[in-house]
Amino acid sequence: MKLLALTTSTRRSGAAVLDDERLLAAATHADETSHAERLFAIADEALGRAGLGRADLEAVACDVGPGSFTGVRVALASAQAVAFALGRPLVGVESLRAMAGAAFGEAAVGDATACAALLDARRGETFLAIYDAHLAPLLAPRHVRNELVAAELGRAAAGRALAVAGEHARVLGLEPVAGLRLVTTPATDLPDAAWLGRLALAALRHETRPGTAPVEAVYLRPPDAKPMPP
Amino acid sequence: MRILGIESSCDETAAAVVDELGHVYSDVVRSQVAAHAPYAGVVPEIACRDHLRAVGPVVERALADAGLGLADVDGIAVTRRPGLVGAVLVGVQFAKGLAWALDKPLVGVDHLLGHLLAVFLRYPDEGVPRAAPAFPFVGLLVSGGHTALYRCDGPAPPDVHELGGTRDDAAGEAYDKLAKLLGLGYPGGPVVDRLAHAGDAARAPVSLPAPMAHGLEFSFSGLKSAVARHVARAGKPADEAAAADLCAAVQGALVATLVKKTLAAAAREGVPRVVLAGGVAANRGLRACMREACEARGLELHVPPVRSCTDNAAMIAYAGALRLARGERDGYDIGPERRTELERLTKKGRGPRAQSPTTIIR
Repeated sequence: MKLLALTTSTRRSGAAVLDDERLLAAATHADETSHAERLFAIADEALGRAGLGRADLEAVACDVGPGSFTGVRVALASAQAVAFALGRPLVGVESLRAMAGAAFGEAAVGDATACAALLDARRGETFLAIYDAHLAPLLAPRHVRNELVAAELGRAAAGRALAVAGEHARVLGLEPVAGLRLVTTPATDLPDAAWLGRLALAALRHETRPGTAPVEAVYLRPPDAKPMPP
Repeated sequence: MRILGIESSCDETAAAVVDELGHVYSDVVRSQVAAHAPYAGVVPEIACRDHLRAVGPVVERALADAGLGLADVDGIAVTRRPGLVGAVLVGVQFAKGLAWALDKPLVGVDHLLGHLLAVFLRYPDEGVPRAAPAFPFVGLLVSGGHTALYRCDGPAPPDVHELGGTRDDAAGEAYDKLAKLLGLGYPGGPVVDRLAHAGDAARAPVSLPAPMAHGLEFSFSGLKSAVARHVARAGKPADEAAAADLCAAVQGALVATLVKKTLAAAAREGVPRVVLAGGVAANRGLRACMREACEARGLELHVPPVRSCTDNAAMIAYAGALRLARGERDGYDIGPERRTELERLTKKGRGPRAQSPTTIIR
């Protein structure tokens, strides 16, 4: 099954084209201010290098967040439209899950049986989730104050080895102590389109009616607004 | 040529199918007004999230209502500017995704130009056929976000010249702020219009400043301040009748200014045609007063039906169809823009005044 995967939830956007497990081509763009303008160019670049046309696509996968609110919407609005126009299923994959998937998939976790994924949530906070080796969530995605992340991870590790994915771990200055193993590969630093695609393909294989449910953005935080006093 | 239009610049998600003659095949508008009402104004992040959820189903419905598949349309038009950037973005990305997937022509449209051309839309269920205005015409565009007078020499952006805009609040904004001060809820336009209809301006217990500004420019913040001072001194109106009288006074002052400046614009430009556009053009007081004034001056007045005054995608599809008919199309690299591409004269706030015809030699 030929699938296009898109991510724009962080400073690095990406497009990847896969045929079942095989990555055919991928392209990235690293300027967060122009993801909307560049997304279809990198999608064309990946398709071109894969030697496929747009009409060859059989499914679309999209990073649904958490991440930048606007960034999440750039890829999700685009992916919704492409899937609708082609009459193909759309699969949403959480950004943090794609990062953990990459960490396990690239065998970057060492002897750890669980992997935490971290992304910058701005405003002094971190988006954080922890997954087991089957990518089932041990700690569902949430936002945590930066200074509380180390304690949260220590508590979750509880003495066992815990892999930690995400360049944000280095920004926070997390030390590889107390069973924490920092994973530092490009595909685990930020959500990676190829791994999004692999996770989406796995979901398509397991679902009975894949890609039929509406795909919702995962913001984790409510909009900033206070109702008017009566 | 049938064009699918998409609009998401503020708090309506809309899609429509229209041809280059303005025939409307479908026209779907999903309003978010209830989601914003508790905040007495549009909350951008709430708007963006709602657009993302709504845009797919709204587009699907517009195609179904037109009896078309996406493959049958000849192009995709989308509001690209001006508006809430994050809200516009959702429509733009969705439109680009549709066009990219099926290799359809894509055109970005200026929302204000869409409003000014809405008068050319023709709905199959309209009873009496309306005559379309000839160019040039003077367009009064009044909405929640925009208030300006334009000289329109043609349907392309370079043909449209701003004669004067608001230096502070848009007319619709003035209505919303008035309604908030009087505790009438949100949005303000319809409720103030309704109350004003029942009220008597002469009984209003407040003297309002004429909302005047230089030349063909507008300024409405003084009206709001006068009402705020009155409410601070005397409290909110005691009953609906008192509120109605106050609304009648404010609406009277606001409408008088809009009409007076429109007539002045038509006289200055030597243009005998006036077109109303924008959500506030749905206001009954404005429609009636403008009609009377234009008749008295021998001016042709063109008033679109209410559904094409408020935000909609049919006007976007039509403006886009005209762009496509001119052989124009955009790439997949277009993004949302905060500001209009139409020529602007009036700067909001404390910027320099519009150029005056008077020269003082010292």
